[in-house]
Amino acid sequence: MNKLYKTVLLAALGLAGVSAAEATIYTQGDLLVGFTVSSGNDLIYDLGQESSLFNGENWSLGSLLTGYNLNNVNWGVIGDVSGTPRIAFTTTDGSQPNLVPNNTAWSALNSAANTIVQFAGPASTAAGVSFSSDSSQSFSWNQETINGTLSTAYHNAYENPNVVGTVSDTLWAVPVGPSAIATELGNFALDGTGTLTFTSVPEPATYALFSVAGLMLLSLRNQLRNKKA
Amino acid sequence: MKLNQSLLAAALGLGVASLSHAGNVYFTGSTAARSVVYQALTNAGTVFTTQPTTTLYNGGGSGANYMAFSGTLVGGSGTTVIKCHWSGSEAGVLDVASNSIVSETFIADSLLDGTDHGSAVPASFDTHAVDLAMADNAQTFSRTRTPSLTGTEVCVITFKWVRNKGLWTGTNVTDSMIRQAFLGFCPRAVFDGNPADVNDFVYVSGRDNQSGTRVNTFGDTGFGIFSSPNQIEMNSSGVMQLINGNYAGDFGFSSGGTLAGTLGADTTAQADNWNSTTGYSVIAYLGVGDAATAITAGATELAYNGVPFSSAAVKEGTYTFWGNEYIFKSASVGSEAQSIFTKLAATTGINNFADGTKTVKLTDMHCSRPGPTGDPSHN
Repeated sequence: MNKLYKTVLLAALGLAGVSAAEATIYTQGDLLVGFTVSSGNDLIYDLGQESSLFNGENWSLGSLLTGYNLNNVNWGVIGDVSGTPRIAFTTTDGSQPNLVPNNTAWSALNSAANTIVQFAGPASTAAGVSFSSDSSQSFSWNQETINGTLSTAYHNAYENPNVVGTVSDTLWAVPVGPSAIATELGNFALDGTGTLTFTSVPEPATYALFSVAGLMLLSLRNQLRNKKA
Repeated sequence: MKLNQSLLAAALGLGVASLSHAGNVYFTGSTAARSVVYQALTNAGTVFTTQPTTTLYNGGGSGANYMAFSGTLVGGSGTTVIKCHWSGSEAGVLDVASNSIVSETFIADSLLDGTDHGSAVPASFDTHAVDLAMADNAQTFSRTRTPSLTGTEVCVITFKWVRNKGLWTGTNVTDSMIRQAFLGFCPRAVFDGNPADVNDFVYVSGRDNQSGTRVNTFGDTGFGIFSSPNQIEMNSSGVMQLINGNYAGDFGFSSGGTLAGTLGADTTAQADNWNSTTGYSVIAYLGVGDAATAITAGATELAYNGVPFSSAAVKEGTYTFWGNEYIFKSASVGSEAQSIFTKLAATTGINNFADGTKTVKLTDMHCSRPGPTGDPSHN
């Protein structure tokens, strides 16, 4: 049977958890933000490619989050991309993320992303796609990142990427390797209207400019003091 | 003789076609259970009054993926045709849950000639909604949990792990090994314990997400029924297949028989295009009937968590790779489909034809389990 036709028919029927032979595939490199209160339905939203993030980019998710009390919602961001080396993207509450020591460990995180999106509907996810899942199901954001007991669940295979409420969540890029160092990419902040905003970490060159500017200010202040004296 | 055969076939076809409009029943689901259903449907007095005229495609005998049975139902009149397309348990559950919305393909009326066509695929199809389905697990463990279906557990269905002729030559797999192999980057060292064996890999070749065998495998191993794997597919020569731009992913065969046909391949010197090396190993999960096909082709049977397969080990629950086999019906079945459902669901139906190996009678089991994620508990 035509896959699209089947999908449309089943969606019209409201059948839960149905899919054609090929599951929806997570688009590598995309970042997924998930929201859960560990009951009811979870919300997952595809933020698009990590490589396309820019400082100040924001997403108005308020209309999708009306069912949640934003002060106690768990939310976090995950993603991954294949390459040399493969890289995992994850948020933490600011602490350094765990290592992703080998490709099997990376694949577990990629599997989790694929598992979360498998019932999303279209053949593959893309920026702006949102979908919900029953928080009691093993493929939900809640079970994959917080409460699931499977050893393959994201938080058991790696760590919990969530924070709670209208706070900031630091985004990291973690390359595969037994001692590879994670890079802080910036942070996401959720406000009370449901707007998610990304703020990038300044590039090292920017830090250098700040440092030079600071030194110049100090120097100027010293010169002024010397003149007064 | 050839002309006579043609005339006979045409007569059979026309006869069936002329009566089948009022009495076609459409049956899908588990490929692992197709053998026991075949036995029940072809036994005179169980469903049909006499042995039905049987047309088979794409597998041959009780292993055919397409079957059609024509005859008079016990307690009925006229000719009823039961058309089967064994598409996988999950596909079957979805078919009947959709209540006539989803259609599947079956042997066309014009091809019902009472012949076993071996591996040939039907030249034309009858596309139709589905009345009945077999599934290797209860609906609560299915992707399609709603709407709730009417179903009956009819027997236990058994599975095996096998390996191909690869670089790994062991005879036992554990849940932990399997879970790592499912991720697509598992070095042979995980399987043989040799720290030097880190440059070649052990993969799982398996079924697609419409398979009940897959549901039981993913549940029993703790990988997770809905978790997305990195499986590979190879052809019967052991060449790793490129699918949607990747050599590993959430792939899988739609038929256990087709998967079994690839597992005799020797991959000790084949290119591993996924991890860019030479030589690899494959393990696979199959219904016991399909495992026999794979073993005949050159695959090796594996013990599971240290326990070799045996009927006794299944019945006592020490061998845990088995599932609860169900027959489900659509909410809108007609009287003939209802009659067939009742006959097959009775203890004198499918259960009566469980051979103790590929399937086990419920009354012979000394343990039970709620589903693939629960352990067998002894009576």
